[in-house]
Amino acid sequence: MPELLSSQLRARLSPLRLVSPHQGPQTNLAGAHKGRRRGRSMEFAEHRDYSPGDDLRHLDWAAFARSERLVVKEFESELERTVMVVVDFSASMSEPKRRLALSCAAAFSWVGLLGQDRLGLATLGREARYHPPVRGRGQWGRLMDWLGSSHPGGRADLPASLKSLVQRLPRSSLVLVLSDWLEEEASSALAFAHHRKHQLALLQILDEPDRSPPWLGPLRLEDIETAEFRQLSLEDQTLSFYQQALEQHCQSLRQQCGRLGFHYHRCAAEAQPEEVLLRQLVERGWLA
Amino acid sequence: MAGLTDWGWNAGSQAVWFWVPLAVLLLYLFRPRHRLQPVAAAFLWRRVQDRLGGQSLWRRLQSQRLLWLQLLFCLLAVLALMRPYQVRPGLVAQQVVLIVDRSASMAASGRFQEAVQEARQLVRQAPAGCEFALAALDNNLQMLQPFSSDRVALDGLLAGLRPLALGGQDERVAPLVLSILKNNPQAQVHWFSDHSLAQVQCVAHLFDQGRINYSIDSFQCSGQQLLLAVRNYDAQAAQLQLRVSGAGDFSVDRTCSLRGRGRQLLQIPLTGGQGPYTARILNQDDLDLDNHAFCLDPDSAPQRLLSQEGVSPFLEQAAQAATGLSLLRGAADVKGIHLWARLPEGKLSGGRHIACAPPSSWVQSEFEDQGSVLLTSSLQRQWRFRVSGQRWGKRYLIKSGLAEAVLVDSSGQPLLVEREGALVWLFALENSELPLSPDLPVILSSWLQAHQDPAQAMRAGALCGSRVVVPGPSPMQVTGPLGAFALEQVEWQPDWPGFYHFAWGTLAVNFYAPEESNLDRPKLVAGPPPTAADEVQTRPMSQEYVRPLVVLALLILLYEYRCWWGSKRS
Repeated sequence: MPELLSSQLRARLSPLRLVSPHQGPQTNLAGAHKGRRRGRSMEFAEHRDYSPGDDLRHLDWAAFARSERLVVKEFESELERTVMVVVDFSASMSEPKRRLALSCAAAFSWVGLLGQDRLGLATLGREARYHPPVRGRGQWGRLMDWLGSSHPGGRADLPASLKSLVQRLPRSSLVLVLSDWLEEEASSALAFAHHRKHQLALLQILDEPDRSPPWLGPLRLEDIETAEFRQLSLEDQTLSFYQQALEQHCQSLRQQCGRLGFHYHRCAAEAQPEEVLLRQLVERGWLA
Repeated sequence: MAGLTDWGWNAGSQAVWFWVPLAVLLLYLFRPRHRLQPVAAAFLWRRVQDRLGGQSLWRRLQSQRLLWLQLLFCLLAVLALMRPYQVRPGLVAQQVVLIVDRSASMAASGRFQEAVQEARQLVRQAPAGCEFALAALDNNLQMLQPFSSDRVALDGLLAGLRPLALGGQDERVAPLVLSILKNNPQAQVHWFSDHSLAQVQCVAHLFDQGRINYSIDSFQCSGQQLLLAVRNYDAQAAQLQLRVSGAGDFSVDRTCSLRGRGRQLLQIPLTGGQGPYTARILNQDDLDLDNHAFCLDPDSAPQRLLSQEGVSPFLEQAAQAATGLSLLRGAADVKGIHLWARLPEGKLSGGRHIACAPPSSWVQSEFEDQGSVLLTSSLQRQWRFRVSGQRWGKRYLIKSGLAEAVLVDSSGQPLLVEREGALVWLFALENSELPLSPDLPVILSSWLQAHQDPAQAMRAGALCGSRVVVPGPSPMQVTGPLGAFALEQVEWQPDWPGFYHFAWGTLAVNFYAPEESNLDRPKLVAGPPPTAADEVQTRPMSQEYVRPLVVLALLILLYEYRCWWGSKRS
């Protein structure tokens, strides 16, 4: 299996961290990510007036001596985050799309493990596989071996697969889905994930035939996953209509992600992983 | 494989339509098919299809360029197959007989092609329900198709007609035409030939249409004025430029307008001029035969004929017999009535064959006579004459009484005639452009080379006017007026002017069909006057669709091939 992520790219990715779209993790396990509630970390957050019942150990006696007011010191909470990288291995993912998806998945895994996240992997397609979250950068090679052993093909069925997947994850997990997102009912999975308080990041990878089909003439266009077919005579107007339909679908995904607070980014399968990871996703705020 | 040589193709030119099934086959082979193309998302294409289906019918059809091309192709093809026509004014009969002359003379100057084209146009432009019959004339009259309304078959028969190297027998046409007219007085008979059908005047005919042919009919001097008669043989009007010149610097230019066929007399006053006079038509015509004429002063002294080297002895005899003048031999620069016969091909322009021509000036001095000629009593006359060439044959009917034969050949055919005060040398029309054919009877005109032995020359001259079928490069027996002669080692040169070289010298041959030299015409049969209004020229419409059909078919092929190739490449 070819190397999914070069050592040079790994070195350039090392200082970056995965950024959740809008909110911190909601878990009881201590970790490296700042939570929304006050916790027990070493980082001071603020003073609060004492209320009966507060732990007396948190009283700031120095402040009492200066101001004769009883105030309690509060600290930031540092919690653990679960990151799930989902890679679409279905038949619709052509070789360029799958190659870029694997590179991005390896990069996300590397960055996540370096950021002390609990990182899991899942694949969609003929065999929907799930690797439970692990910690530590030493697990990265094992995860890549697991990822490389997946076989492409089959149907992804994004809505059903994502629904079953997000149910396994702890709340407020960061789920990165690397797919072409060419599913008609994909938006239903987004709503369910939002309901489960998860944070989704959608990386939509489209290749050249997806964006502007090069075919002309009468064709039997058959869905490679569902075998649904349409017989059309492709001409300039038909291709124009197709591009409008694709743009409408992508726009719908983008709007729903924006409404739910999810990450969404569309990239070309022919783009280099360095370009996608270090420029596009950094500019979009996925990596910081 | 005996017997297979009897069959042939009546309409071989229709083979060009073989491209139609070929095009259909190519269209079938390259027809656009729905090629299987896997895609990542069929639901997007479903939306496209729904959007296309949601369009109005007109907008959906607008995008189908291939459909429109095919519809246009089919429409034009159907129109062409319906063979649209414009009814020719004047063609009102329900039964039309087409008689096409395919004798040897029709092969000259594309006359046959014009005749067939005219006949096909007539068929195309006939009104619905019109029945046609087709007959072809060569040495026999063949009814190729009885009355039928199948125009396609008739058009194929017409397209397959070819001229034959045979003489036409016009007298066989008249009984057919008369019987048709007797049974059906409303029928129309169309005669496609280069001459009129003299026996039946009601027959519309194609008579050298569009050709230019002028002549000077007569040119005489009365002492005070010159009388010049010019004739236009064509239906279209002509404005002729004439120049009359005499001795010294006498020269007069005249313009003569002739409205269609006809003759006009010009009077030119003599103001100090002196003969001999020459008249010439300056307009260019297609024959250049009778556009020169000459005349003397009324009281001119007796003249002499001048003969040059290479002039046919037979021609000398003929001209001498006709004119009664003494014969001199001299160089070309000697003034006199110059005679010349057929010269070698390189010295004459193509297609111009002059058997005898008048002088450019007249003898002014005495020369030694070469001897007298035995003249008949009818030839002992004082001639005030012109010598001109005239096409001979049925095409210009030399009717009895109109021209008196001065000199005849051994079979009684006139070679030199007196007509309207002029001496006319006749030669066969087929002399002009016919290819040499072993099947065509020929007349041996003359020797071209002088012989040292007078007896030999006599024998050679004795062959003049003999008719024979030249079998080819084998020995042949020729019977002349003075006996039979065997010609051996004849070198067969299948090109006009049929010179044949053998041991004795060179033999010149004029070609004509014996049937065409028969001047004994039956009496003219009176018939109804010819119908008018046949001059309207209309164009057949169906032929105009051929080119756009071909172009459209190629466009459709290219477009479908592009679609096929584009889908395959991807």
